[in-house]
Amino acid sequence: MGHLHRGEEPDGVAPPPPAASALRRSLLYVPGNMPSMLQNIPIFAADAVIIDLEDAVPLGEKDAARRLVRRFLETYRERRQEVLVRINALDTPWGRDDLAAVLPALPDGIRLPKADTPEIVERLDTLLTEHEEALGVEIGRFRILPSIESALGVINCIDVAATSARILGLAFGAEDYTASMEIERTKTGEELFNARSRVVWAAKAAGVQAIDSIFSDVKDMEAFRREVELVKGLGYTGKSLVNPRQIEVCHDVFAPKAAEIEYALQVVDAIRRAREMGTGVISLGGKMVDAPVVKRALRVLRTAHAHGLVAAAPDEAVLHG
Amino acid sequence: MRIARRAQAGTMQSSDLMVAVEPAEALSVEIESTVKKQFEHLIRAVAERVLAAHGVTAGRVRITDRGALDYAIQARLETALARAAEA
Amino acid sequence: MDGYWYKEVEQGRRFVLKISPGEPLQERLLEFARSVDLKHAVVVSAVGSIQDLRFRGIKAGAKLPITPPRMHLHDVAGPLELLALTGNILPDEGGALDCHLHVMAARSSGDVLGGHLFDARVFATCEVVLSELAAEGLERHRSRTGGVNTVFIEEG
Repeated sequence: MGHLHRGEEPDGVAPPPPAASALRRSLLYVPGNMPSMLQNIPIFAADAVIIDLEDAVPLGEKDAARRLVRRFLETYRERRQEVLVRINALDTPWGRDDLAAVLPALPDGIRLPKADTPEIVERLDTLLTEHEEALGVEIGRFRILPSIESALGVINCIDVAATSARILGLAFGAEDYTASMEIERTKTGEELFNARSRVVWAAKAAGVQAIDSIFSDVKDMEAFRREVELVKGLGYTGKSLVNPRQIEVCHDVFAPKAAEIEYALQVVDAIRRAREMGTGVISLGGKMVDAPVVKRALRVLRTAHAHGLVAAAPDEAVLHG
Repeated sequence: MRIARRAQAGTMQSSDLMVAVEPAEALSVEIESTVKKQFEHLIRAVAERVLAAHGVTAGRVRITDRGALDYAIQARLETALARAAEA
Repeated sequence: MDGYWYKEVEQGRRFVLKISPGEPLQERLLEFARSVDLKHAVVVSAVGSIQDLRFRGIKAGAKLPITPPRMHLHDVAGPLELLALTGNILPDEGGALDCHLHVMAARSSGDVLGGHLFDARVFATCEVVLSELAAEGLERHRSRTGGVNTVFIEEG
């Protein structure tokens, strides 16, 4: 079980929080009241885990779950992935106690359910500031991932996305969204199309990431793959997962395809050659290489590097020279 | 902290434990574990550390362990104590 | 305290001040007050247009003291119509003049925004009417609890 030994005292050193632009293709939900699942976190290959104190925990066990998560995180120091905690909404009897219990163990951020209005997110922002001051850690270190999971949330998500510097992205919550809309969730997701579009617009406009909802049928990997491809096509950068088996497919879909990487490398070469020859206009295979093409090539190479598909990250300076 | 009433916490799932506490004159810790032989003394050490940290000097503590690690033992015992304290 | 912390003041001199385009509004107000030895004043009115407006709001749920992480800072290039400037000029504990001003300004759409003014530059014009408050024992002290300077009234 990795480095969790009996009787070992957790040391005090906390890892620096990952950058806002860290790769978050897969965010795996882990129930907060199950030691057997919490202890598996170090072996999950997801980019992030979301330890759930909300829907995964019955009302009578909220006190037990937040304490269990606190004690587990205190023993999980060398973290393999970003650790977020989904607390109960702040207007429930548990949300604030969840924060007080888990923040001293220094998770990377908080996933906030039912982020229907900017004010709800701003209240979490000021609460996190208070905890950071009390803990003597850097102000702003705790990030926020608001969940857009209701009609009102979808309407307000454009303002919500820009509410706080702590926000690392917007997460779309289809389960609660379909409930709030009183509609059925389907495997092909037509009923979610407009909401998903608006959420990803809001995230892109605010310069933050967009994380799609869970896909609960763990047996139907084909439908899962199609949904990941659909939301990637809309601009989503990651997806919440309910089972470790979904990680591989998720990463495979979000990884740039070999052809995309090949083309991006050619774009970089074309620019370098043109620069050496001092010519202004750069063309590749008869097509003009303009700014959007360069931006796209850079993004593909950055993501490919993050996936370990290319040795070096692209040399950004060369392209803006 | 004082154990004012019966309370319990935890589950019987693997890697977890059930902790039951109730008021009593003296302080006692009874352990029932699937891995009793090798780890009973370590489970007891964790339990006693937590009880001392919370200033518990009296009460009957029964632990049914299903292979839980230290952090889970600490968390479940602390939750049981909190549930057993004065309202 | 038997309930009210107040001081009755007499009206003193009154001034109409024109601040020229490009000049920092609050800074010029303070310079002017120093130049005419105006220690206690209330802004009666201010109208004109401003640019590079910087002001702040207080975040929802914020507790005292109002420290920077609890403020929502706004920088609006503008230009905007200056609708109102409310507040006063009082000496601080050290005797130097301190300006506490709240601002309201409007975009071309008619949307109004406002809050605690840090400063702004005049765009086309700015006409300010000031009224002196003849009073001693009226200052603004640094408040630890509130996180902002607050008026201090010496009674009697």
